[in-house]
Amino acid sequence: MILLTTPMPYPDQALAAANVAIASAQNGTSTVLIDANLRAPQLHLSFGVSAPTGLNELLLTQQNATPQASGAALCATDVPDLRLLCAGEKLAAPRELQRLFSTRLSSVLTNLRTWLQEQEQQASLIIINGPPVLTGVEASLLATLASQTFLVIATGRTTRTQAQRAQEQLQQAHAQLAGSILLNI
Amino acid sequence: MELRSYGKILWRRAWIIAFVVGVVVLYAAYQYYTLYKTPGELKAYQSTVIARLGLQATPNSSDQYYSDYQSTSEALADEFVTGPLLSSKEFATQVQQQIQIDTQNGEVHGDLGPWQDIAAISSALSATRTHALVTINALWSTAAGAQAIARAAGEVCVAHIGSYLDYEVRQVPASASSSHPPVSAQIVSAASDPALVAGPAANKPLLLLVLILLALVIGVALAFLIEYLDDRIRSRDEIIQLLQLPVYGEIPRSPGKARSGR
Repeated sequence: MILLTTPMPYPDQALAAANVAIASAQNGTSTVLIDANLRAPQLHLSFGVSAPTGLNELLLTQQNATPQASGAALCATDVPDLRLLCAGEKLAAPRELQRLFSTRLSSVLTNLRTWLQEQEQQASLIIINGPPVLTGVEASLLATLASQTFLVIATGRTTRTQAQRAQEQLQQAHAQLAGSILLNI
Repeated sequence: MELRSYGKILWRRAWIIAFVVGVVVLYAAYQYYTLYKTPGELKAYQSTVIARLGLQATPNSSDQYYSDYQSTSEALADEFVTGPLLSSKEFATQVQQQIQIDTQNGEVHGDLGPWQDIAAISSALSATRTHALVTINALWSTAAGAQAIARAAGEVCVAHIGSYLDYEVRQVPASASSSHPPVSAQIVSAASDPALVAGPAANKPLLLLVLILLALVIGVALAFLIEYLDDRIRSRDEIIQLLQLPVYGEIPRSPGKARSGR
């Protein structure tokens, strides 16, 4: 499970995750792209899909959320082997999101993993487009659950201090910061 | 840093350099235009008149006082040339009145310029000397005016030098017949033909050029300063150096703003 996150919010930051997901799907790997940037969701616009159920709804659902529910929330996209978990509709307030992330996120992701293992014969890849690191703790929380985290840097916009602080915050959260990706906006 | 990266920085910050240089060029152009339009600033006409200053010779003066007279004459000439007399209001007024008389007599004609401006006349006059021979320079915006002023200055010297220069303080003006001779002037060379010379502001264009070059240097310095203060990330090398993280990929600029999906 890979997390892509930026230091500060940018208008086109979801492009990075989308590109990586498409590349991976075109390579033959079964890929699931999760839009975890619940404050500024973009991926459903990029892929032109709309789904009533998304990550937001999965987090809000009661305790006994099942792998089936997670699987049902995935939408197919025009790219074969690529599925999208949208952010959802009726997004919760920021404080609420923080609470939900810290309490329910790991179970949601575990459910998703289980469902994927049941469905797919081969290994699949989960790519998460995370919220900006410096604007809240959600990115750090996601980073603890991801196996690898990549910092997406927008050339011409990210300053050195922002990049360094983001790296420090992720390291304090014991994230596996594997590398960075340059986004030429 | 290699030369190409310097060039890239300058190209990126070219607007700063252009702005600074542009403002200074506008200022310099305006200054030059003003100088160009004002007659007598960049180029002016100069006419000189040479006069001998000294004590009036009398029929009964004897040669035994020759060396005293000579040193007195030189002292007087020095007083005239280096002192405040030439630029005084009285002298300039008398020169102006003399020009008036000369014009009425028809001895001077042509474009005399602003000859009624007393201050302009007094700033146009300067002098040098060799022993007792005084050369009076008139620097003016018109040729005829320069010659008229030089001529009038010579005439004022001849007629009125006694009221300006003296070797003792007298209550009554001296006359030629007194035992102590008055100070007199004699025209040796009449007002010369006006020559075109560099005007009083002739070195200004050079200064303006230096100013523009300086603006260019300051612009470049400002560009590098802004570049130094700008801590945004611009290349993969910076990220590798800063975060010690490998760069896994580079996503190029999306063509056009159309968000058609991919």
